[in-house]
Amino acid sequence: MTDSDSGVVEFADSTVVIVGGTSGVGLAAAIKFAEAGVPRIALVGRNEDRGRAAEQSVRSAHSSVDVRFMAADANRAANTEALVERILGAFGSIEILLNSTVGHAAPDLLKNIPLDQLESILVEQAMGPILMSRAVLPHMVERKRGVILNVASDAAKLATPGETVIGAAMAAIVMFTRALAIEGKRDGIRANALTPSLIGGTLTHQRMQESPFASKLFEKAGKMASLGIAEAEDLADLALFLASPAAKKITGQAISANGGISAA
Amino acid sequence: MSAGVHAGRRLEGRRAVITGGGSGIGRGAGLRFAQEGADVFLIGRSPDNIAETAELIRAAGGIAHCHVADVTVEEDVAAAAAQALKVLGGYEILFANAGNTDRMVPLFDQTLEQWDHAWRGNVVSAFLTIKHFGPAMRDAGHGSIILMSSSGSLRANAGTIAYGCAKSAVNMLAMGAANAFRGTQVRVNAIASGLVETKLTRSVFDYARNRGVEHKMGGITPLQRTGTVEEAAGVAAFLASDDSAFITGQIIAADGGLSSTHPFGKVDL
Repeated sequence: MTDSDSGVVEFADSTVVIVGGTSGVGLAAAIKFAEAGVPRIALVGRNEDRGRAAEQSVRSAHSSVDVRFMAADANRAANTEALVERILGAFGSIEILLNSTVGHAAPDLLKNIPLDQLESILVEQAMGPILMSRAVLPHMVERKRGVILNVASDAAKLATPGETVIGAAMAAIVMFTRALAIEGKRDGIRANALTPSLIGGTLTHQRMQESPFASKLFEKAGKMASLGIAEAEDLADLALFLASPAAKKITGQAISANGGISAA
Repeated sequence: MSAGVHAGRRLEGRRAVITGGGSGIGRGAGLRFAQEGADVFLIGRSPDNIAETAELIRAAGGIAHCHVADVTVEEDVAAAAAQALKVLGGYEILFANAGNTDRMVPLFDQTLEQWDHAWRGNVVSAFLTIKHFGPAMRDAGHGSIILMSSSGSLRANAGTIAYGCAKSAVNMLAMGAANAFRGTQVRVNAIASGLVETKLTRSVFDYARNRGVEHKMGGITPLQRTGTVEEAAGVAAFLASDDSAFITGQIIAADGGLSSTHPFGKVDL
């Protein structure tokens, strides 16, 4: 491998693994990866019905793609290792990993969050990308190439009321990704984080409407998005760019796509 | 993959280990098991051959893992068992398919090396495979182990005497192991396969082809033909599935009926 090839992964001979690939940003990215000529895509999620439906929608976007749903909870260490083996068994290699998992916690003031929920909020939000990155890493190191993309959120960069624990979890993902980039560069592996703010039209967005605090917060933020509230497709476009050879020199970054809500 | 009639997806969610998975009946069984829904762990000596089987399985939408090992070497088998457990997290199906054969040589000219070779490649390999892969199945309390035998284990004149003796021992291993797993739902059976064209038997087929009598192959069986890899794999899939849940310690002949007859002597090829 020459230096100019380092960090390059061609879509045409790639397997893309998308954790949280059955809806929202993950599914939108899967469709765009398929359209961009990626031949093999694994969609990882917990919900079997949503998984099968997602498979269908990716297939109908591009019939020649080999897309397979793999049921797994990526928040458990033992599962992630078995999952990676299973994906390698299905496709033989993994070039691109996109972690687009979301926790269920809605923003709320710290004083209102029960003590015994703090740990699970933190772990549920932060551990998925960390465990999955760790699980694919030996394979990518062995092959001296790979792209890891972790979806976090602007809460990692911008102190926001109601996002103390969520913000801590997102900052964990971002710092993990940056340090991973520095570890991975010697093996031709790039790692970047995507830090959206609110994303319109997703299941998470719907869920947030149910909490009065969260819906008010999102409404305020939405008014600041002069370029329009970002949608899943906007984040998918960013993921594709970051995974593509066009971004071969970009690693260890946390990039926001938020329609102008903030410039952190 | 064969476009034959299939019994559906009886092995959905199961995990299968296959020795000798790089070619012949092992490859055919890998494809069939995967087609019926199993994740497949292929073991073989040649990395290229098992990788090719894995590619065929993946191309057909299945899941396949490869592991290079010589199943006549105990350390190799122990390492393969540990790796299968790690990669699959457990397994319900074990097809000890790897075996060998040798040249037809008159009895009085056969050598000790020839007998050692037949014993090691057919019996020791199956024993080591059960020894190292069996405990995880015993502990899980269920599963199906399939050994590869031959019609040469049941009657004379189907393969060399050394090969026939070794496969007879494989039959007894199936019976003995079935009893060793008593109290569990781990079953052990052997397939006594008739003549099927694989790498092992290619010389026989080539010989017949060269003499222009290929159509006479298998002529002494009631079905008057040789078997196919897909047919052998189908028997393995039946024994792997719950359709055979009450069958253990048996030798299932899949030989076109050869072992049911008194052939009237050597067919003139």
